[in-house]
Amino acid sequence: MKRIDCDVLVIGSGPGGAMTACLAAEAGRDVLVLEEGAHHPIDSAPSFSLAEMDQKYRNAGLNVTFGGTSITYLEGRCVGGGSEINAALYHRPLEKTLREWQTQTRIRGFEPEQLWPHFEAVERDCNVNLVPGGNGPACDLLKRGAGSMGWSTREIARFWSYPAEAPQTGLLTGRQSMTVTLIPRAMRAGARLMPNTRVVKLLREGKRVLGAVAETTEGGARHERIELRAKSVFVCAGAVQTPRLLRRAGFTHNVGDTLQLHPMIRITARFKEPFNDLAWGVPTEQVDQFKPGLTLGCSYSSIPHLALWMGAELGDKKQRLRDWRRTGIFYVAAVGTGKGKIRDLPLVGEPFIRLPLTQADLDRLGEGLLRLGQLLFAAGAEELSSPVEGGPGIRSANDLEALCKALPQGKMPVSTIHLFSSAPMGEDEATTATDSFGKLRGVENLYVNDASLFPASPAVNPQGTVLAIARRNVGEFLG
Amino acid sequence: MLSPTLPPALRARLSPVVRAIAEAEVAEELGRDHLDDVPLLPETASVLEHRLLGMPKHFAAGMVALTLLFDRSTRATDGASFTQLSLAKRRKALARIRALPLGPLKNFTTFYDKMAPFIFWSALEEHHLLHVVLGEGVE
Repeated sequence: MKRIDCDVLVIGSGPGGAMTACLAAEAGRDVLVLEEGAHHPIDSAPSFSLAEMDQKYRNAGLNVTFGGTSITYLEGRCVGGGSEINAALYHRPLEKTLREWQTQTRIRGFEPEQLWPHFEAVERDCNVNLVPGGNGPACDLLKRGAGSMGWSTREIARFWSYPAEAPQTGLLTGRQSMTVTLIPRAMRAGARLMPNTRVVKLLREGKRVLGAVAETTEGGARHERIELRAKSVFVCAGAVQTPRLLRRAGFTHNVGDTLQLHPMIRITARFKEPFNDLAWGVPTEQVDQFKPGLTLGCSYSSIPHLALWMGAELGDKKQRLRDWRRTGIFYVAAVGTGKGKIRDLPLVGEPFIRLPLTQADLDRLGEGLLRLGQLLFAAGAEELSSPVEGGPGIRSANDLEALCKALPQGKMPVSTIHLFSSAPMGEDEATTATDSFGKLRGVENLYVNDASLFPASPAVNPQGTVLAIARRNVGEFLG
Repeated sequence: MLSPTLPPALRARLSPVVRAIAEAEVAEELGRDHLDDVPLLPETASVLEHRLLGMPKHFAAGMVALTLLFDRSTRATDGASFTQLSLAKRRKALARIRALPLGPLKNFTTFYDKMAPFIFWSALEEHHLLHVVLGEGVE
């Protein structure tokens, strides 16, 4: 078997892995990054298109959890990981959330004042910006509806670059994913990147990890097995794949037992006037009145996506799609309370995730849908699609009220792209898998550095928090 | 490990069924029983089959089995396999499954109900043919 040696082996090239690789390489370490997926340029496929799903999503986006309600979840499977496929929205978590985490699992060195410089560095290094000169007609509609209800909204910054001379030209093309920012920086500092390379197992010897065995693929078929030897190993494969790899190596203490996510429900709404303009990309306004528990917003609403979420029950779908400019997809995202277990299915080699959507989750989503419906009707919506499969169209907030009081388990399309907390960090050994800086318990040189580390929900899009915490942790590692 | 690809003989049985389901789903989407002038149906069916086989292996195996079973199930109700039925009868057969309570067959139709339209409209968008189906002025 071919063997490759390095100082630092980074498994996964999403935000956590890219930050780890970049800083370790810039500190002079010999870094090797392994990525299961392929290396595609940022513009290799239009955002949210079928082609992009084929190229960059694990299983083309068709992954589901088991429980009373199956939840479809998306994972990036390409160089850059989730940063290549998400809406690129950036949030700092609330200070209150960080303090709760600090207390919950007793994290050392986790005062907000110690963390903000890492967030500032992320904002600078990964080009976090607001849309210059307003964020488009769908956002204006959301602001108008929220304003009528007396609720606050906020424009969310994005990992995005807008050319100074013509900002509008960057609306669709300015994404600052890891393949644009930290991965090239890591490679300029000497890091080696191996795409199409899937880690089969970690190599253990006593209290040390020696490295990993990986398989390369070529044209989708297995090519060769290689052995990677490293002084230190960082597992940054995301909240589902990281615990799977650790558990396969026998590291099971608080690993893969507490997965959490932000369940999201989408509905479509049709208005009298046009407002849907794809040239603006993902609408960046969110209703923050009900944070941290609930977030309301608008999604990218192309005809295929409208067809996906509209359902057939509204009738005359063809005419409704002709009206796409006055129709949009709107969402409610909640902080979930259910905790899920991740296990490998024997023989199949796929993850099995059992995660309940709790009654508290259903109540919270129901409250969010009612608020969203009130906002949309206040903004002039004529009709909403039902959040329940096969349900009739909704023509008033009153129609929605009864439905939202008792959302039925198992009958709504629930999805998420935010998964975390599957190997939490902290000093509380009873509830955490790693120490306060991501070092796995019981082993000298194995680290986790991705969203798995979160003790609980960040209550916002997690990418900014992943990057900031990864930066903090790798700084501790490098001394 | 289960293979992510099917043996050729099984694939040859699966493809016509997926094609027949894709056509029925598009017909449902457009609310009519003929598709003579609708472009990209073979592409839609092909991508749909690719999606089905690209699911996690345990789901894909179940979906393949249910799809083949579904093809035969209409012999009892309609006197012929699903692939042999007219578009109108195929739409009705899918509607019967949709009306079932929760269960594997419900999940089966949910997959096709969601993915076939999404793939169809995506293909039209990618090929700049939305106007052919939705009328002039839609791009």
